Amino acid sequence: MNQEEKKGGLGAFILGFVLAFLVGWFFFSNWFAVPPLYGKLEQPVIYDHLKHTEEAGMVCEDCHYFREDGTWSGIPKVEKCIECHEEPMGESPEEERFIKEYIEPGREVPWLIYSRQPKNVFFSHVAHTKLANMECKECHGEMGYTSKPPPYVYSRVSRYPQHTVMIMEDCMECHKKHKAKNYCFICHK
Amino acid sequence: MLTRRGFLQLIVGGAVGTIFSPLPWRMADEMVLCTQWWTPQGPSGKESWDYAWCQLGSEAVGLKVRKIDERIVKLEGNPLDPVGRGGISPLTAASLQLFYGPTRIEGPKRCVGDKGKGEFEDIEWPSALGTLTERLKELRATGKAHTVACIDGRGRGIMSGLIKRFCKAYGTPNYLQMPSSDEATSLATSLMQGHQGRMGFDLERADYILSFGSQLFEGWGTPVRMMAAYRYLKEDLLSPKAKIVQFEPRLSHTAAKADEWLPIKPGTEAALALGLAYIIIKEGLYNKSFVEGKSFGFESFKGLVSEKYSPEDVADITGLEKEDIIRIAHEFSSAKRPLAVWGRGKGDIPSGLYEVMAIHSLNALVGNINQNGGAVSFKDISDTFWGDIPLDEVAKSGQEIERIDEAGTERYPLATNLIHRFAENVVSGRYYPINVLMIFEANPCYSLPHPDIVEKALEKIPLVVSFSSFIDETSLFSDLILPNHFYLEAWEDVTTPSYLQYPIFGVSKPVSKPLCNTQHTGDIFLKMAQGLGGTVASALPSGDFEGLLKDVAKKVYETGKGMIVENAISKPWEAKVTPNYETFDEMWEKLLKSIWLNPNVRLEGFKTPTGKFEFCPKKLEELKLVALPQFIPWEVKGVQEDFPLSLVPYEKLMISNGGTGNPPYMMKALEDTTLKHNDMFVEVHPYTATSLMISEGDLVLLKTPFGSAKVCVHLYEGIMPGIVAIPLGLGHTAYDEYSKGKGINAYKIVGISEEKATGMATWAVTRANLIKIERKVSHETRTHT
Repeated sequence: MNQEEKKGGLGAFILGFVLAFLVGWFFFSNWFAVPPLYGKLEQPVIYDHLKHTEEAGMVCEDCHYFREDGTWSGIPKVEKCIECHEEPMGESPEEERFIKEYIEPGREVPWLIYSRQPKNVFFSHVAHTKLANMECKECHGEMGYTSKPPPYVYSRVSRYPQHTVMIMEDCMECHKKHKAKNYCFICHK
Repeated sequence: MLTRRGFLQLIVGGAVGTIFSPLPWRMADEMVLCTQWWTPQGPSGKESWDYAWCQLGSEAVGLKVRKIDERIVKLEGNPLDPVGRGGISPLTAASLQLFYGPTRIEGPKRCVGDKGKGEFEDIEWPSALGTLTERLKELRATGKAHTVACIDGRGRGIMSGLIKRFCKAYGTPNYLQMPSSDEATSLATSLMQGHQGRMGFDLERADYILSFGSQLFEGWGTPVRMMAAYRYLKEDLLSPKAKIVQFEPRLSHTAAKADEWLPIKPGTEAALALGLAYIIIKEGLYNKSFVEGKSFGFESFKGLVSEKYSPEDVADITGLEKEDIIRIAHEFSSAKRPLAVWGRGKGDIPSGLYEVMAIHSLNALVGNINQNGGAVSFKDISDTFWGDIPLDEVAKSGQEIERIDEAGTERYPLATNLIHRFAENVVSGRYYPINVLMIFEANPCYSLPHPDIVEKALEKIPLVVSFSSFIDETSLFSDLILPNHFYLEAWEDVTTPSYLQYPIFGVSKPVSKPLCNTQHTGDIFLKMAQGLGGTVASALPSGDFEGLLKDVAKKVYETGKGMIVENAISKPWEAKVTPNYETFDEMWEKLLKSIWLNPNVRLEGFKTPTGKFEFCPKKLEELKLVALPQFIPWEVKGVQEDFPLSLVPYEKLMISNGGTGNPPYMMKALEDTTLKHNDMFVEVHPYTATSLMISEGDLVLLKTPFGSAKVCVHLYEGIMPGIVAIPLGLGHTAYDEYSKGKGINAYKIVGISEEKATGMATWAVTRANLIKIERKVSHETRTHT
């Protein structure tokens, strides 16, 4: 083999390397979140947290709280919204749409859950907020101060949310750091 | 220009570049997330508890219902329930599978095309009810009220009382019930004691129990109560409170749990009872104060028994050893509270009147009637609630017409229900035609012998209405399906279950909104009555079933007796109770969470013509029938040479037999020696099998004079030689994939034997033969379902 051919080989190698490297980093990393792997959706209702906390004077616990038996109430059902929003409280067209499409027919809002975990993961809110004294924003970000919900970025392959989701590795790292147990049955019953 | 080497280098470069990018790790994560779907997780939401009662399959279990938001996720026993003491039976626990299962009928349906094909169209409730009510009106107006018939599968409680009353006020005598031992029991009680009402067995206080073919711990009576009773009696294994002796041809689970199992030839229970009576009478071991002071006809009874039922004779008839008969008679009569019980299988395989009289005579001989630990008679609220029925001319003439099943006619004056004759008479057209048949909580196209005749009868009847909540064999042959609520969605009455020794009363309220477009059958009957107007409307309360239950509760309240359980009672059968409520509203509130009971109530004295317990019932004498308990061998069709074996059906706790389908949990719990994949096994003794050249697992043709079926054989030493035992409740052709096509329906091949005097029929024994088809079926080569 002569020098030219060898060089040609190296060039092709470098070309392949760079192409694959860029494609991988552009299409498959979390940073750019573009199709084909990633999809982006908006929440079915543009819920303004800021308006409810600052203007209406509500606190997080009004909608997100622990029940008597220690289970986490999660995202409130539409019956909670009906308590105030049977009639429009302001002039926003979004509120009107919300009332027309969900409150009047009594339909539950199909919220997209940013932190959705697979079915075999049993996550306990009380263990983290009461026992470990974590703040909500450590996992969920400053949701309470947003005027509109962040976009829901999800993977088209697994259908799981991407940006704020935590995979097992993230949980285990934090557990290790804070000396919490990492046995299988802690999270997988 | 790209050379081949260059191309390869490009690929390799790409591969290395991929490794240094997030792609592989990303895709690995995605694969992991993709595959994490295999764990079923319950819904998350607000947990709440509610209370209900399950009465599927003659059960009566108090429940605590756990819900997450609106979904019922678990049923647990209610510790306040005095019957089960917090226990729960398999059918109840698995009933959620039926509730949320795929065979629920979503709404009223009308049959299109031929019956039996399962082609239905959806219709609306007003039109469905309108069709039925109009037809009933029409028949009543044209003097054909008697051509309406009802089959009631529940056979007890307020609901059954409602249907019976509707039929009487409407003007038809044809109120039929599915068969059970209750018929013979109530007849024997009324003839020998003059008591109408319930017969309960105070097993918890007995110390020597003889069970004549009753599968005590496999569904007889109330399963939860029997299991609790067993725990109670056997608490201290070194000195148990009672000895249990089981007489049946097969070593069932009950026989295995009993202290002694004595195999007897099927159908010979009466002979055995009279053989025991022989010893007790001959050796003077009977309770003299009861027999001499409170009984009538003892001398005739003694004469009959001494003449025909000596231990040698009985040993011959039953296959027992003479010494065992004598020993058991000694043990039974010397016990402090001996008790003989009956009710073949779960009580669903009927007994004859004379058989029950023979066994009950034993209780009389030891004076254990209406005593602690004995057979007790009392009335339940469902017996006393309904008052007189206003009858108009149509209703009065309806009562004069003979029933389509010939019960109560000159030929069968004693019987109140002979449903096995119903289908035959409809098909043959021997009597009047039936125009409307309403079927409630029953599956006669499956669970009556000769189901093909029942199917023919249903094809012939122009309007068959099924209230079933599920697609079962009978609803496939119906013209109209008006699906009932499931018990979790409906107001139900809770009355004394089979063989409990004290009355209870409760209400089960709906704990879930109706999942489908169903209606309460009680409400339907009440609405129809109002629609028919006149005396039919005034015979039944206006309003709905919930209102009716409140009326019944009021009547219970007005007795001023009993108590509502607020703290778990450890021995409810002997509790002394007084009402713990002041007003009716207080009682109703408490009733919604618990139950009313009144232990230690029993009918005093005997209400026979002689005022005493009658060994020879005078009523039978009046009817010119043999007025003594006796053993009459069941007449079985077929010739000994062609059918040398006896086929004996048995019931299992894990198979729901009757008006309710078998949930998947229970199907999966069946042993491989009962059902493996789709093959059902019959039990045969190794001696019998060897003589027929059959080995374990062989596929055989089980032949009877009524049909044949392919089954597999399981060799079992716990069965008498010459007997083939077949489980009841499998071989469905309706419901879902978990029940359909598994095994065979034993009802298709068993035969009916009628008791001559009463007309009551049983299928406890049929002649049979086994013909080998192929060698052991290899289940290992089949894939698991």
